[in-house]
Amino acid sequence: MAEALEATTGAAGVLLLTFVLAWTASASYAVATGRSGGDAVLHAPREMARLLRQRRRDTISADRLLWRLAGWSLLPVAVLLVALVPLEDAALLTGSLGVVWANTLDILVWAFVWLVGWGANSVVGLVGGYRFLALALAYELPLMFALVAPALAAGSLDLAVVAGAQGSLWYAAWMPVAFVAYLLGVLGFSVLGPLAAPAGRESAEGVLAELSGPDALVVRAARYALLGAGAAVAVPLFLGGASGPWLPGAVWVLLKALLLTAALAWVAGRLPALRVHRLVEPLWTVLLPLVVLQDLVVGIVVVAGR
Amino acid sequence: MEMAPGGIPLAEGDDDRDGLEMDVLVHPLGPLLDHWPGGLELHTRLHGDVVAHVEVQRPASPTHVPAAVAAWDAVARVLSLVGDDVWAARARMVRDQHPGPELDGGGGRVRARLARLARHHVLPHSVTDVLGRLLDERIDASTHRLDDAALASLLEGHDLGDVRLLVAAHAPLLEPSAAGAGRG
Repeated sequence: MAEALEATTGAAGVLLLTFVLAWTASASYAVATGRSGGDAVLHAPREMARLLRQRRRDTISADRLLWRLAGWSLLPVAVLLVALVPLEDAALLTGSLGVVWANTLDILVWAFVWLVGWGANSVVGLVGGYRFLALALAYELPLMFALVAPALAAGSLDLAVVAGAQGSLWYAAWMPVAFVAYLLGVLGFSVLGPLAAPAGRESAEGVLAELSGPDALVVRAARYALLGAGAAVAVPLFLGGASGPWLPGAVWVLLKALLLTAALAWVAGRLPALRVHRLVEPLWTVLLPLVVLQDLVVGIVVVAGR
Repeated sequence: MEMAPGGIPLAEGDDDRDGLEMDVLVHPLGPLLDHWPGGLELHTRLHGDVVAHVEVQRPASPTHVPAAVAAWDAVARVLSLVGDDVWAARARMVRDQHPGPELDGGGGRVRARLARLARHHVLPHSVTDVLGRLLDERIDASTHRLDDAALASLLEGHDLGDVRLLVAAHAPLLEPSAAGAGRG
């Protein structure tokens, strides 16, 4: 009985935290694109009210099943990512393979974003979907190798162990390349900022173009939720997890997650969307080798430290 | 028998620029789109996301916008299209101050931003080139109008995204009448 109650409050807490992270990301992104503070905070609820009342518009011969299924699956991915984050000593979803699960979830986003573009049976949706696949190939490998670095240093794939292994020197401080590659990957799977080309305005919002009403709401909200969730997972990976003076550990995790979400969303909002064919080359030829080099450095430090 | 699921004919094959056979899609752009010259209609044939063929249809009535205002409007639209909202808003502020070729600080900063975006390949050089020449009034919009054939040949061979950017940048040269476009 007590266990069931604990699990229920934990699940409710994760849902609430995802919601707060998504709202923070949306508000910070709106501030960065030139809205005033109050307007930016109210942007998300206003969009929610508008899109909930909007009539659903369908395209001819849309693949409704896959289209809707993919669109509505993005938010659960964000919730599951948040559930992996250890608050004090344990996460809602504990396990020795947290890092692998985080990676698995972000790869699911590939299928969902592509299917959102495909399902509408529209030219711009399909163009957006293909752009995403090209971009995903380019950001995902640096992201995967970035995940290797903290796991290697901590000698564990358990997010709680990785967080606990950092002591006073956070991994973000001595693995900056991995940290940056990870954050870039977060922008990639949330299709925001410089990596927003699959939903770019110059292709009529690409994968988002034909979405309407509640379907549009869940996908748009999911982009910000994924950014927030990605930032939250970075806390145990790179930002020392629950470590911090005076305050309880869980508060530190929440604080770091919210601050990183706000900062990342703000930077993303300030930057223009980059064209995919210009972005893919530097991601493959510059970032990927740099991240592999970062892993090598971490490996040498680990072996030398034994 | 022609296959037409849902009333839309299936895409037909055609040789694309690489000599491969590609599905050809018919895709209309305009007359109403965000950051798009109002009334302009393009009937495009796409090979994948590359625009292979364009038919132009444009509105009959000219809008009588002064050249400098039209140029800054084009800058704002291009910046909006790449999601650079803060700088798009700054370009619109410059536009609303009825600018001339001699620039105040605000206009200069927006132009520096355009140059930076071109350097980092966020914008194609063809787009920033024409914007620069429009802002310097090195192109006289009243005489250098783009006719339908010129616009079509300008756009063909570019991908959908670049086509939107090129149309936004060339909007001041698309005015239907020479009489209203010039600022003198």
